[in-house]
Amino acid sequence: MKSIILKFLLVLCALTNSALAQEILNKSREQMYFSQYVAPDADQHLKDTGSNEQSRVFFRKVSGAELNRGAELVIDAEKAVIQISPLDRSENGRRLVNAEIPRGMTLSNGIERRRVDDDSIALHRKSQGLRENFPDLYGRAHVMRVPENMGRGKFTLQASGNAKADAEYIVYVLDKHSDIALEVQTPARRFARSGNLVLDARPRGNAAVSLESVSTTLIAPDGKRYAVAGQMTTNGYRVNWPIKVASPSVPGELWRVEVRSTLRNARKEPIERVAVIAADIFAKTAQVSQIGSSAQDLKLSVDVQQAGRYEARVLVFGRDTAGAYKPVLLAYQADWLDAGLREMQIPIDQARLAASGLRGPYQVRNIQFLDQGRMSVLEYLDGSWILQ
Amino acid sequence: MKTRAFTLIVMLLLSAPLPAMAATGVALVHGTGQQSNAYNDYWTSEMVESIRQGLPASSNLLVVNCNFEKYMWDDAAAGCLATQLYNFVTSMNIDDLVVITHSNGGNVMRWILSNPTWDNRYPTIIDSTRWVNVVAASSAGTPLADAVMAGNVFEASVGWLLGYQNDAVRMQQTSWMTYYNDNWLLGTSGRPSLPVGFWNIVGTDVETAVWDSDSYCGGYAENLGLEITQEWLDGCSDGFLNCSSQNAAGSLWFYDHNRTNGSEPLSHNQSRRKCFNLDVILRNDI
Repeated sequence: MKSIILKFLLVLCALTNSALAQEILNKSREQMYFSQYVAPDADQHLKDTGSNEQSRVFFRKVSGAELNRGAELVIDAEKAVIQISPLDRSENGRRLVNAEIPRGMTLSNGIERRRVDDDSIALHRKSQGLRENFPDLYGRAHVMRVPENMGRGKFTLQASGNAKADAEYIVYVLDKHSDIALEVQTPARRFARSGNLVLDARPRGNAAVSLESVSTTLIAPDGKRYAVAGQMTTNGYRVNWPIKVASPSVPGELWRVEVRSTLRNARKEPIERVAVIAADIFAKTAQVSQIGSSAQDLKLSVDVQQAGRYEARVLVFGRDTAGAYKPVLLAYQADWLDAGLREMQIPIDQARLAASGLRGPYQVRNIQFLDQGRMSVLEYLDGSWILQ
Repeated sequence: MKTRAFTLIVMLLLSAPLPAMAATGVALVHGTGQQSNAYNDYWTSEMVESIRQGLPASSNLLVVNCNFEKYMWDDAAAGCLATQLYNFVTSMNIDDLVVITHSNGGNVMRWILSNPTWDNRYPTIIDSTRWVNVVAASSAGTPLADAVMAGNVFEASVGWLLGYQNDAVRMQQTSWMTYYNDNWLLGTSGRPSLPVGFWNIVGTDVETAVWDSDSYCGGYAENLGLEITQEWLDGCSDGFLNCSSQNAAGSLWFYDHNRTNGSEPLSHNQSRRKCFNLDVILRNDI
């Protein structure tokens, strides 16, 4: 029993370490300070405003076998755009490149069937300009638009039997002219590994549309997918999921929160929508524990769990002639901090403040605290720290 | 333009007085891609040499060559751009630098302007920069990148991602750019303003007609391709970027048709070429 517990703890430690032992991209040990004026009449702040995505898109992976049989796409409005892209695969650790789509594919609306490279459908075929201009985007993809006279509703995209059964493709549909969207809101775009992933989803647009099913997946930078549990609400869906992930973060690279749904439109047709939100899943490598201010600077007491390069940005406000507070200066300080209780001192350039035309007493109202080396924003702090 | 001049005056009043003999320079910053000869391959000599005519000292022009297939913060992207700009302003004693960016080059430049403590060369570059003229910037990303990246991430059990897109394409997905704009970059709505002016030139449309000679500026096939990609985009776009993305950070300088010859729109391809007097507009702003 003891050895089982020991093994369990070792595995847990390994998982925790793999998550926390994140690469440090910026290892500079140089202390740096900078300050700049900001436009006083523009509303501005340092805070995480969350996200609100409305998607009229759906996409899914299809196999060559499925394409040979015919992949069904239910499209709510006319003139949707469809893109099909071949995917590479791995086999025994080797990359198998798949750069071609099957030749001779057709698109059918149940009444008529047209070849996808018909001039009325194929956007791609009309020009090599796409490939020449944007090889990164269109080196492989085939883009088509459903012609207006093929209408809307259920379509079948089908290969003529020549797709390799185990080949894989992504079919991506922009239902551009539909008024049905999936709306996904999150209170933040950054989630601590020790915290919860929170989001709300609901159908938007046509009042008759209903949410039939929905699922959420968190996708790590390394491609690992985590099923996220959520609950249906009245024609909506809510997630409040304790984050338990082993995948490491990569500095600057974002995680994807993919919300897949099936909605029913007024005709009771199943309409797919997929919304994707980019988010940072970060480790709390340091935390601001106390803030003090004087006329010359702002002092942050920082509890550093992991040594690294940290940065604080503070937004300073001053009073105009009418006494209203307006943003005036953004001051930065970055430094290497070892683990333990540390202090960051952000100098505030009094001469620049005085020259700004705005009067004191000046206040710091927003603080952004970042792990610059691991590229994570750790905290946003709101308050009123008077510089006197 | 009035607003622009007024802002300049305010900034000058706020800043330390310029030295009596300011040395003016221009740097051209390309978009996504790995460039080794952006002079010919990205901008073309006609465009560069026309802009050069606006300089008091014609040698004070830099055409940047970096790897903007990487993330904007990467050493091969912002690091390379910082090296070339820093060496340029220090070796030529430039203290009045006008930077002209195209497309994703605006994001890499904005990374430098927004993260002055990242690299000890950044403050020198910022302090030397008069303003940035930002042509067709992908400040809020593009739905085209969303479409091409969708589903293109797989289990990395073999240690590499199977996705074939580069980091810059991944970064220019709309939701990714929203994150960077909200957390790492300055200049978008609600965020603190940038330390220097960031003036957007916005391409609003793509026009192609075989009988119209204007459609051939920058290459007919390329423009036709961009007209097709407009299917993914809003009613106002340059074929690669929505107008809203081009004007998401900084301030509007002008919409193409308000200043170009014949009120011609600038496609995403034309806005880096000598088309419809764009070169002269940029030259006259030095």
